[in-house]
Amino acid sequence: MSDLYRQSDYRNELRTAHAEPLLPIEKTLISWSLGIGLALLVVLALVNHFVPPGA
Amino acid sequence: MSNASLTEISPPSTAEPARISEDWLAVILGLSIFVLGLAALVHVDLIGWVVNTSVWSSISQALAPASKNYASLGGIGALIATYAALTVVLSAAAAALGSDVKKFLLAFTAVFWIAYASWIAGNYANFAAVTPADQQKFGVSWSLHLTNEGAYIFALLAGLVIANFLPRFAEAIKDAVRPELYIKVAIVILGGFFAVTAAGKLGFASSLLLRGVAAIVEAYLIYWAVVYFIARKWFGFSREWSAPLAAGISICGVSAAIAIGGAIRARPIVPALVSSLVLIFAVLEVLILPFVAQTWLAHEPLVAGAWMGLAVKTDGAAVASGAITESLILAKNASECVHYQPGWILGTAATVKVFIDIFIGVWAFVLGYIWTNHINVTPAAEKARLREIWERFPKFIIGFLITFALGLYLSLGTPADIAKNVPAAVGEANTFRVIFFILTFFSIGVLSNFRALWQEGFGKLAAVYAVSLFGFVIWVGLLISWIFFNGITPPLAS
Repeated sequence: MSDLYRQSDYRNELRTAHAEPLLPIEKTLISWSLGIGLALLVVLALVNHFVPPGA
Repeated sequence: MSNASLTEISPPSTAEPARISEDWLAVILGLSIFVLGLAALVHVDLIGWVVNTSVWSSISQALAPASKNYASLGGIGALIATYAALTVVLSAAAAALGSDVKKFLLAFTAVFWIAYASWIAGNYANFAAVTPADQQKFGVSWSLHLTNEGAYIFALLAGLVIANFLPRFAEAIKDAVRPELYIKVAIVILGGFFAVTAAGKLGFASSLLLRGVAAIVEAYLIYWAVVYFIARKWFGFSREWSAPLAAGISICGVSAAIAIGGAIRARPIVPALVSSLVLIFAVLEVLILPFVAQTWLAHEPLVAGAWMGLAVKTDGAAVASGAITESLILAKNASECVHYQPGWILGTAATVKVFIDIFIGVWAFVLGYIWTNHINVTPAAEKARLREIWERFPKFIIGFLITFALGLYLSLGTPADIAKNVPAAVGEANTFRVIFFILTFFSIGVLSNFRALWQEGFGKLAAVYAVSLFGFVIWVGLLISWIFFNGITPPLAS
């Protein structure tokens, strides 16, 4: 790892990188992921509520 | 994963190509220890010589063999026997991984003795005694109430001191600094221990599955998406950096960052740098969150356990945090005369973490498919393949499932005269699990050089991590854990 850090290329890359705009496919990925995730969590929370843990 | 990626110290030296992956090796080692322990069921005590450490005020109280059958060994004899056995077995493992065995042997000697010495120190009564009765028993007037397993923190601190103040020594022992191997072996053994614990309350254990699914949804669909958005939109990171970074923060730390980095065909340096960051923040979490949980969640033990599994990144740190949290919370409840059965908080943390691990390969494939077909569409880029799901599947989970199934069968499916001996048999193997935890904590410490945080350009990565972890991941993890586990308590100890 020390060799890696000695190479300043990556540090410069991180510092000076130009922003890449979000592509439509990225926006779709994020929104679908969040949408499905939140919906599933609600379903699971309901199941959890109505099916309490076994004794 | 490769330990190479974690800090400024260079990777363990390799003499020749590995003959087996670290995951499969962990399965073999963990299963072997578990099966050797089970020999006690037929009255053959094969591993009872393993050393066990108790809270002590006089050093003569500290060490003893795990089984009375080996009492003649004495504490020091058991410690030496444990060291010798682990050295032989792990040296063979190092050879299978292609490491230089001589270097490993020397390094492991240092790792074992320093780690175990710090574990013994952490068991000193002034640090570990829990109740006033314990303090009276050990003749001490005060205690930090860290408990027996709170001594893991001592192993971690010893490693941190070496990493940050003795970097040359850290470099010298790097061949035996393998936290991922140690924790994977421990998790395989833990499967059997948790099965024996869960057998007493199977209905609840099965309902953990539902909560495991919730953990998967949270980590992959909620955390990843939000952290990726933050990295891309607020901090201006490229896609190549953002995807592994989001995986490291939201899913399973090092292994996820490496899997996702590979899936989107990122340069190897990207997940390597992310991994070093993951480990440093995981250390901070291990040092803080268990004590936060003890303070505010002592009466919601399983919320605390699930929270550790969801919020603390990397398998080693997450499961180890579960162990510390369990000991701290059990101690606090014990001081209020409530004695919960041990194993449930740790088991919950480990189960949540294992569930999250299972889907790393699937998520890597999903992202790999999107990247190679829609984002980086170049003729040279190899398309994502279905078989990558299996290739990226963390195989040590298979070991966890086998020991869990075996432990459950032996507890519930065998005649009473056999079943009654299962906890003791698994207990001996579990003593090895504790030792692998100690080695994990120490190794994590040795790999955590905080100077890395100050590297120019690295601060921006750390900022994304800090904002996401402390501003979002930890609190959402707590909320979800609360929704699914509040009001559920472990069985009381008989």
